[in-house]
Amino acid sequence: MAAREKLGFLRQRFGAAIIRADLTSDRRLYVFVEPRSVKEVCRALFRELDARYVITIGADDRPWSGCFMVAHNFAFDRDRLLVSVMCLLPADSPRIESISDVVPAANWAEREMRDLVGIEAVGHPYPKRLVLPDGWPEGLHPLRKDVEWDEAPDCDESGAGYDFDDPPEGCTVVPFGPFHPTLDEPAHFRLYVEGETVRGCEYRGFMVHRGIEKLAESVLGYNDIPIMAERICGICGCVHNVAYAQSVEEAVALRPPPRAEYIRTIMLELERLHSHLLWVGLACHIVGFDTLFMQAFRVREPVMWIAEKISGNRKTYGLCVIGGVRWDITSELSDELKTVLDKLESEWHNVARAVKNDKNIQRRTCGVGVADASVVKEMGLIGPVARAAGVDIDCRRDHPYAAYDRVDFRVITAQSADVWGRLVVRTDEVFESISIIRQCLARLEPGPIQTPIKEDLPAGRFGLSSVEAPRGESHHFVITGENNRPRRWRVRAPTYQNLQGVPSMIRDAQLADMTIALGSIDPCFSCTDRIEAVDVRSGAVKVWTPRDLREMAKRAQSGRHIKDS
Amino acid sequence: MLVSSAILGQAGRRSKTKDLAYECGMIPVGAGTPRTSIRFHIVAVLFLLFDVAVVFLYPWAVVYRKMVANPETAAFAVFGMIGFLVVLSAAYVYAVKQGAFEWHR
Amino acid sequence: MVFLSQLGPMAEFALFSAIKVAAVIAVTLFMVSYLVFAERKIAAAVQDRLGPNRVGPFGLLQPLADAVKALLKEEFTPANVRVVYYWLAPVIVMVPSLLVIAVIPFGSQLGAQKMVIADLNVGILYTFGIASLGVYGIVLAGYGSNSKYPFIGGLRAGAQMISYEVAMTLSVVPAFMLVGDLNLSAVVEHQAGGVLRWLAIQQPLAFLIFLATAFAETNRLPFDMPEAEQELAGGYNVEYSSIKFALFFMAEYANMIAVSAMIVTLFLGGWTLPWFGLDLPAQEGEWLKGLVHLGIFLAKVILLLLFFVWVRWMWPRLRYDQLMGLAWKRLVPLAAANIVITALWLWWRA
Repeated sequence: MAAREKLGFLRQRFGAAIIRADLTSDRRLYVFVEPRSVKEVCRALFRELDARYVITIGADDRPWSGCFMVAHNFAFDRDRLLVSVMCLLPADSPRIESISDVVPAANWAEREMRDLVGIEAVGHPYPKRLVLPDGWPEGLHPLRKDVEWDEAPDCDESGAGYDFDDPPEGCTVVPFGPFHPTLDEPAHFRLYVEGETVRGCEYRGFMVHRGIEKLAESVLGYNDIPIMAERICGICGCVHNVAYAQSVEEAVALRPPPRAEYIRTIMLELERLHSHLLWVGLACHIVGFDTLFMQAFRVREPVMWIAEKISGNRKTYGLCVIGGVRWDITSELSDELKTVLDKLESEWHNVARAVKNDKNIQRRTCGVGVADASVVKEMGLIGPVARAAGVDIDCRRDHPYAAYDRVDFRVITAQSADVWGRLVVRTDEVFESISIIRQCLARLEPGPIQTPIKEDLPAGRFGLSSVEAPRGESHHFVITGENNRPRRWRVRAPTYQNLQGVPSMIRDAQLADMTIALGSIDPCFSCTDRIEAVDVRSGAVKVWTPRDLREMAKRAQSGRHIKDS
Repeated sequence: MLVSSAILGQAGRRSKTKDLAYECGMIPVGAGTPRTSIRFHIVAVLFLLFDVAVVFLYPWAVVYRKMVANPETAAFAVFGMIGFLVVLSAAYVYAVKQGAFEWHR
Repeated sequence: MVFLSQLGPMAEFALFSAIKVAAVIAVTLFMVSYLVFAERKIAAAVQDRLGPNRVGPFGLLQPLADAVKALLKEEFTPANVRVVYYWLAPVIVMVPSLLVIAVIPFGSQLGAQKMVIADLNVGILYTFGIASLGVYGIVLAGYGSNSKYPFIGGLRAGAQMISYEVAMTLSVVPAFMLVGDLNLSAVVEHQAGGVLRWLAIQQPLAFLIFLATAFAETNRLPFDMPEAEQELAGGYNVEYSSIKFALFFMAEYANMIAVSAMIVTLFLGGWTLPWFGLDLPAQEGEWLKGLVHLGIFLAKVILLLLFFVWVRWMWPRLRYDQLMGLAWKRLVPLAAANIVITALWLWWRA
């Protein structure tokens, strides 16, 4: 119903600019719009109808429609609706008006679209390179279909590829990362520090290029991709695995059997358990409380063991195929899982009490890294970061998938919008996850775990899937294709949006709060970076010759003037 | 110990990268000893002020018991130092009012 | 012994002082290495881990292995540092803690010798003077490294240590009002005759403030801001390697020992124990009693050190502004108020 309402609103408002609309179900709406109206449609959705921005996708559709394709995805969380605003751009001038000034959250996605597909967002407020490595040649866009998956261009090794902004007057540049004890993965924040106060920062990430999306579109097959998707992230791999499978299933209208849906739910929640336990430990480590860090890891360990018993691996469970799951949960495993959960619950009560009653932890986290509801809206923040700011969104309830519509759980929120709030939200979500797994185990009925696929999957269909990862919504977008593989597969990990909120969290904060503020979004750079750059050689792993270093030093001293995003 | 380490320690190669200051793996930007907060200076001045004042308390503390035991010097011992402390706390209160101890502003 | 009796008084003094100095340094360094080991073992116990257990029985030879490793590491001085300060810093940081121990009476008497290296009559002033020299080492390390993270760490350390120095010197004034002498041996004698005579009991507030500042002065968690690994990647010692790096760590533990020895002397009755007549100094010839006094002192110091270690694993770190606020806004006024109260109370009683 909601979908028809929104469509009606758009038709009435924009008339002929709405070329076509596909209502594949009550919960999905694909609207094809004239390119010149895209920005206004997005403004109407985002500002007037109060939609949440999800992601922008660029696709090279020239082999089929002769055009480039752009999709801006939005979510109506109350109405259980995902909307994709799509348009086709002529092959000879892939340019579209930027929506970043009305939807600030689209900043990165539009830059990425330029880097990888070569679709120019005209009027972008901060059109710097985002994803591609420093020396990558201009004009070579790896996700275009005419670029081979193993193409390795000659990169400019002189280091003249990336200019950092000049720091504001009176500020010192303090680099944070890529090699820093609290960063488990490489990413670079260039902090502008005045005294001990952070005035701003510039982000240069995407150092872990693995080309996963390009592989999926060129080499792998439908059922290879779930295994590859899982390797996007070492912590929430199962989320990507399920999200990919669901987006394909949705595109081709395939429904996995109920038992498979319950098993998916159980494994997703197991993953949330170990991820939240890990995070609470890391947060304690960041504020210098190593004892709780170790204890949290000890409590977490049985979760890893039971995962190993069920799937054969502590992580990377290898769970999904299109239309089901690859292995079953036997009754013995189910009993053992229940024992693990009982023990975990009682131990976690202790840890939660220790964390919540610790005055020093409160002092270190209250009022730190604040991202209030307006920042959440503008930057499209999600997951515990949004919920800690009182924004009550959770894909498990808002866009139900797997078996989440058949279990009862509370969505935990807090009002403080700071690191403390995120801590409380994550700590309490652990108990909800335990409860969800118990309900699933109780309702697990005998039956098949895969829906057989008899014929080739139809090509040219769209599929969207939002899965609530421990860090927030993981959003997958798929266009099905020929040769047993998708034409386009875009992964938007939660950290991709949440990282864009970090600059406002740390602005005018203490240098000492930087680590815990960044830590509080539970950043996962491997999720964010996932993908796409084809050439490993010129990526983060780069041997610096003395000549490189001299060049880079020179360059760093003569940077261009562009304001901080 | 330092010398023995220099003799015993393994010889390594030097390289430009190795010689660079640690800046999280990026090329250092700007001076290694950058401009810092004025707060550090204020703290140093306050330290001089108060620590020197505190040293005056020690001789007084040592003879205090003997002085109060003698009725003739008792009042001098008590009020002399209380007077001193009042002056000191006036300075302290001024510093607080000026926000010298507000690290984050 | 014949040889001894032939020495003049000066030569005898020099000889025995040299022996005492050597013994104290040896014991301190030994304690430093095993304190590190104890810290790792205790941390492991608190966190349900095993801790070092590979080198020797129960890992007891671990400190030796660490020392050998530190010595054999590549001795590396980066090109951009200020070389003189860079080399000077680890030395300066180590020396004060050893000097502080010189005036601590670590026993009563052994034979004819008083068990203190230098029985200064202004002992406590000397202690504070020397102890604050330690800050030079750290600030120099930060400045000498010529790199941002160490520089910020060094400055923070400097500001923190001088701030807590003020609170520390203020906090012990009331104790000396009771004792009436700045000599540390006199302080110990004052506390003889029952636990109630200990200054920790007579001056609980002074004791607690001193204890808190002791944590800050030694840069221990929850006050280990200057080296906060998670924020500054280690702070002032980032650019150091091999034995120079190890020296900073040894200095931290040597400082802990020095400060514990001071606390024991000032507040916990020094080498005395109010039972079995152990309050009174040993006479010449009472060798056993003299040795027991040494043992008592060491035992008290070790217990206090274990307390230091335990605290580290029980609390998260404060943030820098909270740390400075605590020193200036809480501890300093409290210590000053304590002085006034003690003064009035003594006056009223007299």
